[in-house]
Amino acid sequence: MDNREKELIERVLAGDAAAFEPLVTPYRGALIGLAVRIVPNPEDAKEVAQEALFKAFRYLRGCDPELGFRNWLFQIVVNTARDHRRREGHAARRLAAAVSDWDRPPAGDDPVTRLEKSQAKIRLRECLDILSDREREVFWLREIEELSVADTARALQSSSISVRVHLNRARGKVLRRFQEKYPDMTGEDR
Amino acid sequence: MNRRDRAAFKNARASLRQWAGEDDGSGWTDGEWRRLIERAAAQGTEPIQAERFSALRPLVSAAATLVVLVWAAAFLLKTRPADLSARNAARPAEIAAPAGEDFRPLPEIVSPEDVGRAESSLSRPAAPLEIRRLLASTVETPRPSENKPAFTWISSETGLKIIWFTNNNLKLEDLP
Repeated sequence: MDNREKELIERVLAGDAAAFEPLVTPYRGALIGLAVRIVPNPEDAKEVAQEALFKAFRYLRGCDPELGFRNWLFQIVVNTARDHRRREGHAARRLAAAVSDWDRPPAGDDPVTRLEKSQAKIRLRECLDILSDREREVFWLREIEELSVADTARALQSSSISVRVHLNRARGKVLRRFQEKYPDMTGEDR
Repeated sequence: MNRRDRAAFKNARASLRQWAGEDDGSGWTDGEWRRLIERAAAQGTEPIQAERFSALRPLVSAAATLVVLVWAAAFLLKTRPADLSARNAARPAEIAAPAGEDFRPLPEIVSPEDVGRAESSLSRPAAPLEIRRLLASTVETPRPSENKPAFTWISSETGLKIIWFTNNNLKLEDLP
């Protein structure tokens, strides 16, 4: 945990609630990004991220300095999302994902940006949907959020060996999908 | 993954990271985010459950140990005398010959028919212990060769007979 985060946490715990915003804002996108990999319905993912944020404030005293604030926050998101997934059930999740407005271009940007964002979403989904839930969680934390293997294992409450196994499998699957769909982006045009 | 695959994967990962970055923060508008932070801050912080439980943990474990010890002591004090008296009461009955039972000393050397008869009588659970012991010690069994010690064991419950043959060093050996 860096000193700035430590200082902000101490301020929040001392009663300065305003210090919470600079503490969590750097992870605003990551919160939703991680939640949506575990709970594919964007509305549910938003709820999960919101709940995780509330929990983070409420239980800030329990933040483990060894783990680091970011990893601790991700751990809360993972647990909250998994609880949500368990509650909702597999079938409901698939149905919700199918009928969601996931591909709808986000409002508020110019049309070109909206189109690019929309394409990014679609491509991300295409590449990550082939992964199992566990593989997607590991892949996202390790390869996109760039957590270390040990931190990924801690965030997922798993072992480093398990993380490595899932990561290798996920890398292979993602690469094959890229080679099928976007061979030009892997540097090996076919 | 070979070197070529690793290089291809790195390129793919760079694209994924770029797409993830473009998708960044689409969940909340700035206004929504600020309201969310305010709502989170309004609830206040509290000690995590684990901390509360960790304070209670030694007390709970001490109480549980005490309960187990008290239960074990009570169990031993209650059951042990009764158990011993039951065992003592059972012993004479087991050793003593049943009333009216006819004790016939077995011949020193018995024929194979006698052995068979003795064994079949042993299979009856009511056979007196003395006869069984006598049988176990006196029944001669066929030996594979002379000067080879053998040990015979006859089960007092089932009459099952087991013979061990050994060499002169008292090591077990197979039948020829």
